[in-house]
Amino acid sequence: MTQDPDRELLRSHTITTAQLLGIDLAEDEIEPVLDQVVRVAGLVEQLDRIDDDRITPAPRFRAGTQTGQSTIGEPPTSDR
Amino acid sequence: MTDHRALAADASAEMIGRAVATGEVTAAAVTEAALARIDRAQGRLNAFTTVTASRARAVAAAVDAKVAAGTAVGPLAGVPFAVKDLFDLQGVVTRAGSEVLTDRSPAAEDAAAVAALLAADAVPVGALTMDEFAFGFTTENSHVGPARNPHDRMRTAGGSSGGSAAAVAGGLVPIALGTDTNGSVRVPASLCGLFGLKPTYGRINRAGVRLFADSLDHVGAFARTATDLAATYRALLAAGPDGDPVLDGPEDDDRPLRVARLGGWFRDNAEDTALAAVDLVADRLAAEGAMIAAEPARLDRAGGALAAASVITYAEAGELHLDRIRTQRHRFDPIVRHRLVAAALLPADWYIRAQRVRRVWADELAAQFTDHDVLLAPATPFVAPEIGTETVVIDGQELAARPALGRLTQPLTPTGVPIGVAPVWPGGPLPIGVQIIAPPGHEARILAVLATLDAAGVAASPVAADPDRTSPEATST
Repeated sequence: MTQDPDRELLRSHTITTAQLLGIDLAEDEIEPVLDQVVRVAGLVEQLDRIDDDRITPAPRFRAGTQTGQSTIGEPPTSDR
Repeated sequence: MTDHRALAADASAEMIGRAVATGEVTAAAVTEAALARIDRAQGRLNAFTTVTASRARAVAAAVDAKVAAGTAVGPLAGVPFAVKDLFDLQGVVTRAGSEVLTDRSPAAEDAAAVAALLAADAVPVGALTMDEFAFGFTTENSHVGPARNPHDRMRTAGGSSGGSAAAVAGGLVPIALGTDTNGSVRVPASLCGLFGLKPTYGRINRAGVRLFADSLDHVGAFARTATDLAATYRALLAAGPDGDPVLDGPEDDDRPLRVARLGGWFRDNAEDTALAAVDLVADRLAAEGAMIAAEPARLDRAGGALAAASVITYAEAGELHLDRIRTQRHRFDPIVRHRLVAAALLPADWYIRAQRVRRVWADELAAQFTDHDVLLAPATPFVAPEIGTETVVIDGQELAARPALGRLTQPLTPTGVPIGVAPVWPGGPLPIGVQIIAPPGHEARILAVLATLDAAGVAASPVAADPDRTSPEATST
């Protein structure tokens, strides 16, 4: 059991969020999952805040977008 | 008279296709030679998860019947190919490297990309080892074991399409299919010394492909020559696009190609060997008349782009696998399981922030194509590490080795631009790849650059030696 209060808070939050999604974490799963959450949080710290309301789901290249600007397109036809 | 060269491990798809079409060799003989190589190499390379020998023989027989009847055959007539174990092969359970999918029904039909190669009269010989659900850069799959690098079996073949690269570099098949989400074609192509292509996002239909991260997944290909890579790409176009067609870029005119090396992140995160490979490519292109920018092109957001690609990957993969995580996560590889559980829990704010970074990053990269036709960067920071390597030091920083392999490919994927890999041997026994990056729709430009480098010998993909081979395998038929 960790003594770090931030880690404890994250641990509690992670268990609760997982339960909300229907995932009951076993005791031995919690710490490895927390490590991964912390890793991704570290990546998020490297993301600039972009002052723009638009979201880009995926790049789509149509007429007028040959330089590479992304446009919002239809979902792919893939078989999930 | 049988053309024995078409039966050899180093036979190109071009050579096989020509020999089969002209009746100098049968597709059946080519297929048997490939199946024998696969059987002999499995214990050494662990490239295959399924060998479709019966179907391969049936397809080869059909190709031979066409030739005998004087019917025109496709450009890949009799060419053996294999696919990463996330492409549906009719009659085979598509496992995506996971135990979780083993009890699913066999695929009722082929993936669109597989069907496209079949339409070109290529012969499917099986499915290939990969990281579980494509979540990795080293194909260290705990269920089936690691794919091994044919140039040094103690080293990784890269991932997640590691089996595809091992199969081609080991001379088991001349071409193979993979997918690239964060570098899963480009990394193994680099580490195994292959020509590789990740086409423009949306260019190749992904129907029948198990996805990993929807907005980043691309179908791609491996080959040992630029000509074979181009032929495979052209055949894949028959699969059609994902959604709206991707527009071809305007044909290049006769003016000199404008080339720039990527600087900043793409130099700081590369060892000297990788930078030497880029210099070899740039020097050769200059000798061919290209204009090489004196100063490297600098992209300030590359580090953020890598972070964005990672966050997007986690979020999309977590959502994709949520039901399986709920009910059968004990069947996942432990490393992948923990990643996917964490991925399912990510706040929406993180994903949306990453998507916004993605857009401004795509614009930053696109701006480079105002002044440059092609950009160059190493495909991996270093040559193939030994299997099991945990950490590496890059630019004075100790980093986890596995994600570090994608440091130079991952930032570029969210933009969706087409990227080729040229296999370069800057010294020593191991190869390293150089990314050839072009604007969307300009695959033809990339393939032309690769052809130039192949013809000049700057890029090359020799078949790795087969230590078990004691006698010529090409026998009279």
